[in-house]
Amino acid sequence: MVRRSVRNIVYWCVALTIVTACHTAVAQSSPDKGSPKKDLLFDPFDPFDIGDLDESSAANDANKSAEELLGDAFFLLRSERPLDARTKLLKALQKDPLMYRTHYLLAGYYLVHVGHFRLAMKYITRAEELFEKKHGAPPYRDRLLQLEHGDILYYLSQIRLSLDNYQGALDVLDRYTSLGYSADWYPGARAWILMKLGRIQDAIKVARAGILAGAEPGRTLNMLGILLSMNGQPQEALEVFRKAIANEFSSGSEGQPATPLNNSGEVYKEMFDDDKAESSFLRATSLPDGCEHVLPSLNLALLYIEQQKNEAALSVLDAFQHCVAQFPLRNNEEHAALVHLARGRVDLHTGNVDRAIRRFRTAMEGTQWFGKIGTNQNDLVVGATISLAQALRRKNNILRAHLTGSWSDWVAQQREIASNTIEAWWLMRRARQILTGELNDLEDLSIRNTDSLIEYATLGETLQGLSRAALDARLEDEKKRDTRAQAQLFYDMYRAESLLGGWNSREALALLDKVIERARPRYDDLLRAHATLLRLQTLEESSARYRDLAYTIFYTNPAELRNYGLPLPVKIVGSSVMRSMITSGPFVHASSAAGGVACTITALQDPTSSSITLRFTCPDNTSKNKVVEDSDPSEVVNKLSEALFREEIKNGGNI
Amino acid sequence: MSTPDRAASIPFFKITLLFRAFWIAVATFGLNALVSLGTPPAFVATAGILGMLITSRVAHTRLTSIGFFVALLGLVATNSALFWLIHEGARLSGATGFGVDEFQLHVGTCLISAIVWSITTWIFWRARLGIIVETVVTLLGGVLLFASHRDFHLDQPKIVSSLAWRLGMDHLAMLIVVGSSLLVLGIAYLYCASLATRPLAERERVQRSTSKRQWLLGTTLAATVIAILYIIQQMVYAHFNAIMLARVANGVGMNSESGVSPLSFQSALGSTNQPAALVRLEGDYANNPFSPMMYMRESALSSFNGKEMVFAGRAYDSDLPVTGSRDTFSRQEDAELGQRTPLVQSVYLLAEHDHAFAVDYPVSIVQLKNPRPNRFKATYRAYSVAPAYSVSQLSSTPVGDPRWTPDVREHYLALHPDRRYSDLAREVTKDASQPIEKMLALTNYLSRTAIYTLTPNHTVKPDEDPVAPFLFGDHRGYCVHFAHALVYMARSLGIPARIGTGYLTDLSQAKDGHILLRMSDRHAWAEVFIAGIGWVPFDVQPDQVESHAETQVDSKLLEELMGVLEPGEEILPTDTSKDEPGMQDPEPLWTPSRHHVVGTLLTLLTLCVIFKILLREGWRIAPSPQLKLRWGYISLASFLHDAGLSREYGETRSEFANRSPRGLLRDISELLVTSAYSKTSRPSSDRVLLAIMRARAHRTSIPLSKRVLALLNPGSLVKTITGGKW
Repeated sequence: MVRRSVRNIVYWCVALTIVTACHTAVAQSSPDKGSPKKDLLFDPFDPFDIGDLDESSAANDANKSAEELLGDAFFLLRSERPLDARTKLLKALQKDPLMYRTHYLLAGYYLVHVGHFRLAMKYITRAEELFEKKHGAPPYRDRLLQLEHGDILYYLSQIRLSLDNYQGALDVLDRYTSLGYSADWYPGARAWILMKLGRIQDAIKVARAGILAGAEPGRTLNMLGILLSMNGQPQEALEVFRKAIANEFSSGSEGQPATPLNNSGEVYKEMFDDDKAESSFLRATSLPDGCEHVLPSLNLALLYIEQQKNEAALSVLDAFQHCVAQFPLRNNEEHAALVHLARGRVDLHTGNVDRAIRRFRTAMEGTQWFGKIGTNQNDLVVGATISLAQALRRKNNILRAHLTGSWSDWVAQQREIASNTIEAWWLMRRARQILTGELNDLEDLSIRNTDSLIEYATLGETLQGLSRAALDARLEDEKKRDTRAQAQLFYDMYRAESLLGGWNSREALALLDKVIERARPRYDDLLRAHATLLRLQTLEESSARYRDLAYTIFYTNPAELRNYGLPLPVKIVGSSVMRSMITSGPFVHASSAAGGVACTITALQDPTSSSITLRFTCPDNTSKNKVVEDSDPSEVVNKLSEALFREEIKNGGNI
Repeated sequence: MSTPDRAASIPFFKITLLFRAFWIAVATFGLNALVSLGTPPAFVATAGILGMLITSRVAHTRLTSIGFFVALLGLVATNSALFWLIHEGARLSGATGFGVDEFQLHVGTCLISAIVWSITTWIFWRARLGIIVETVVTLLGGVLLFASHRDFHLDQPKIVSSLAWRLGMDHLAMLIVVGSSLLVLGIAYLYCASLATRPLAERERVQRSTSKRQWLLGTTLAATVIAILYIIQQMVYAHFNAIMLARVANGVGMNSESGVSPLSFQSALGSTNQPAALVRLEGDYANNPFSPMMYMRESALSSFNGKEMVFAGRAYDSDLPVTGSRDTFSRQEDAELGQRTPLVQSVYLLAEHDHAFAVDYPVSIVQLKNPRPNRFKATYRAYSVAPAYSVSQLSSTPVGDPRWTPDVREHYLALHPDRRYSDLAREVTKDASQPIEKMLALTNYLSRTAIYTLTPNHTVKPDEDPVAPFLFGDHRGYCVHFAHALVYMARSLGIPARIGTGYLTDLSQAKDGHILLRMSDRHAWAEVFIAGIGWVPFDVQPDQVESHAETQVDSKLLEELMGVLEPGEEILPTDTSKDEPGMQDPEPLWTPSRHHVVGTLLTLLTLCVIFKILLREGWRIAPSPQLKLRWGYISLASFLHDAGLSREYGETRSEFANRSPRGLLRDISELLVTSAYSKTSRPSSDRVLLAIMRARAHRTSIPLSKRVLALLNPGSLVKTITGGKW
């Protein structure tokens, strides 16, 4: 929305500027060159005059003046032809390097269309310098000069904001007001900068004042909603977002309702109102502007992952990528790393760990352009780092359950396990370093923090490495401050994981049982699954509880059982060699004393073809029945393991 | 002997420590460049060096290995206990932050570094095989660092490549420079280290005579070795450069004579991220039929030589730009071909290309001014008539150009003799009636069944068809296999087809219309001539991918190259914005500028001069007669050393004094001996001064040439630094 607003401001201000420029050019031109109408590049009030912009005009550029090229560029920008416009502007710059309007337009181009802020800064500072050289130092008495100068200052503040120089951006806005300028964009822009500076109360005041003054109501309302949400006023924020959405819808094709819809979804998510959050994100993604930014799709995908709706999560990401592919000049820097992160998590939870590792590595290597949204590079890095460390640990569990056919394979497997262990240890350590350092003393511990890209259900794995004393104190503090009942379960989970590594495991087990019992069905499935898997790790494999919990997981999240290194209790029918092979894999012989139902693996050996068939049958869930065949006994077990514990979701695997 | 004395008496002890410190710093900073340590590498390296220095001293005490490891465990336990106390203290004070944890993590990283280097240092000094272990580890480290070069993937060791990139040097040259430097340093270190751990070897070495003739012989030998090494380096460079070009430039416009093919069936076209070119679109390409992908054609293979597709020569494929990347070219637009749009591209080559490439067929190619000749090999601007059709709308359009002569038509329809191609083609296209529908059916068939892999590893004899094991075998292959298979099958159905080669790039990875082409973007695809449209790519996109080339574009590199193309200072001066926060370019890797190198050398030279002056004239500022005498003796002995007269191993000071020219050291040497062994007789200041002055006066007896040599010879400095005795 900010992007669109900036663009609109640019267009209309520049239109005004260019009209003036062209009038100046006409006034300066000789009267015998032709009629003024012909010499004037275009008449902005004549709907049929779109200027001389046919394809052959490129060849005529050499004969055009800098002002004419500037006029061409303006219309090309309006026609969504940014590269053509850029070429015209650069030609104009070559013809007249001292024309500040060209620099100004190029600054706008690099700010709005490209996101190359350092280059935008070069152009805008040069534009300001040339402007002052031509018209003297401010203040200016001429209204048009005031407008132009105000626009230059606006760009300067926006570029500084994009370069994370918040105080510098605020200083520019102070200069803007000190010169007596005013504009509709001002309250929203100032509120945003104040928010970035952490002055939330001041920002709220500015945004409210802006709304009262009727300044860009859609954008300012959206801004106010974000501020209220940050200020711990979710209900008020939602009310404001509702108005913002209505306002954006009323703007027709110019409106950007997806932005406040996404923001309201984030507030609902923070309030653990998952249905409404889902509904908001869905509406946002279904709108034409919903695919302009990755956020609504990413938020929806992450919500689905928490609910263990992996297929739905992949569909959302597919839809986003198909949609964004329609904009060939959109740089995937805007979304690629985030999409890899989300897809990687789906892969991890569905047992495609190798692919997950690849995706997390790509997400960590890829540069994510965040523009002006609250999330920053460290949020992405820490999210991807934790996920990669988890994936490496899961990979090790899978390797341990993988049977090797030769000594050399076994040695290679052990080497991989060792290297994964070291890397995972280092990554977790690094993640803690970023969380406690760059991310402001673990500010993301507040569950479902909007800016965070952490998977909250499994965050406890990372927090385990922090000192118990500090973590306990902080969790107590968070529990007291956080009024959301559902968030308490997460804090309990983290405490349980922290205690599991120590001596007080009884309290840890009680907390885990509490999480398993109270986690909301449908919504907190990932949290419940994680707690159940940790609980399983504390149980005897021959116990009835182990069998019950293992089958609960197996029927809902089969991949996770192997991911966590937990064997599935099965009845085994076959030779003693095959029984031994099967129990060396991700299976354990189900004790008949434990009672309950267990699936059966029947090993059949064909003496003629020397092939071995493993038949997996579940009396109460026939959809899990599988048959695999191979001549190698260890390979046939591995095949069954893959068939049971790895889910391949169709049409979701494209990067 | 006290501990420091015992350690200090070891030959080459100090220089060995210096080398070890250097390697620790190199290893730490190198590691930080590869994996972010999270803690400033300077701290981590300092901790490692401290650990190494302390252990080097401790290793020469009577401490046992068990005691040493217990001490290390004690260090870890103390660290944990200390932080536990701090945490508890913080908890009792009601603090809820993680500041202590953050600090603990930094301390932990430094501690890990100190412990790792302590252990290696302990092994080095204490275990007989320590130096061998260290040599093996060093070699393995080197091999691991450069392992990716086995296949000449010169872009892989990021540090070397980054350095080469920053300095605008050739990758291979940089590799040789870095490798040679490290090798020399490594050999010097191992030499010193071996002598430090085997002091007797040093004794043997020093006992050897150092006559003038031998000195000359040694110098000549050293010069010869250096010259031979240089020649070998040049030969190695020339040899591997040719291999590297062939490897990384697989298909990059090489071997374009008719009858040959630049494509290989054994290794995929460039699979590395090595930058090949920067392409800047000068206009929007909104109606790109392949969006977000874009094909840039360099050449085409339309002749079948009985085994594979090869270049046909100038008689055919008249749409190709008949120009090198450094030539100008222009021709009339083919008025018969419709549904096209003009597209201007500026191309800045980062790797050598014999032929220019452009989107579809260019009507004009002009040379551009090269904005950075040490970065771009060549630059040109191509004016293309780019496709603007939709393949789906062409389904009923006839194929082939009605203007073709029968000979040309026959050329594009030359069949593969293996009937299996036509059988399969007929089977796959049995439901399609139009040629384009048939092509789409073939493409879809291969997309569905083929498995993309960079290493198909088919065993094919030189006279065998390299495509058959792919199409009628395991279906594993890459673009070269797919394109050949499609062309053979298309031709068997009477569809004129050829293979296009060049680049396939993803525009969604572009920025501001700037596309960074990598070697991994090298591509080959099948093309069919559609009447009134021209050559249209039909490309297989396999559903199954076994291995693929690197896909992510280095956006920092792209932005850096975009910066090179920005308007110059005369149009866009950077002075006005240079003080703005956030404007500083992030340095991916610190590289020394020429000023740094010259400055460091000058500083070192100045330090040497100061040190030498102190060595020669330091006696003048000695605070006591004893010191004045000692420093005076060192001044004269070092002067003689630099002039070519050194005290031999086992030679007493008196013997050396007698051997000195005109016995110039005799008086001062006697005084020194008296002063050292007499408890009562201490020479007076005047006597010392007199002895020094007399000896200095005798220096004129040494030939002038040797005196000048003594002024410049750094031998005395080296001897002093390495702990030599005067």
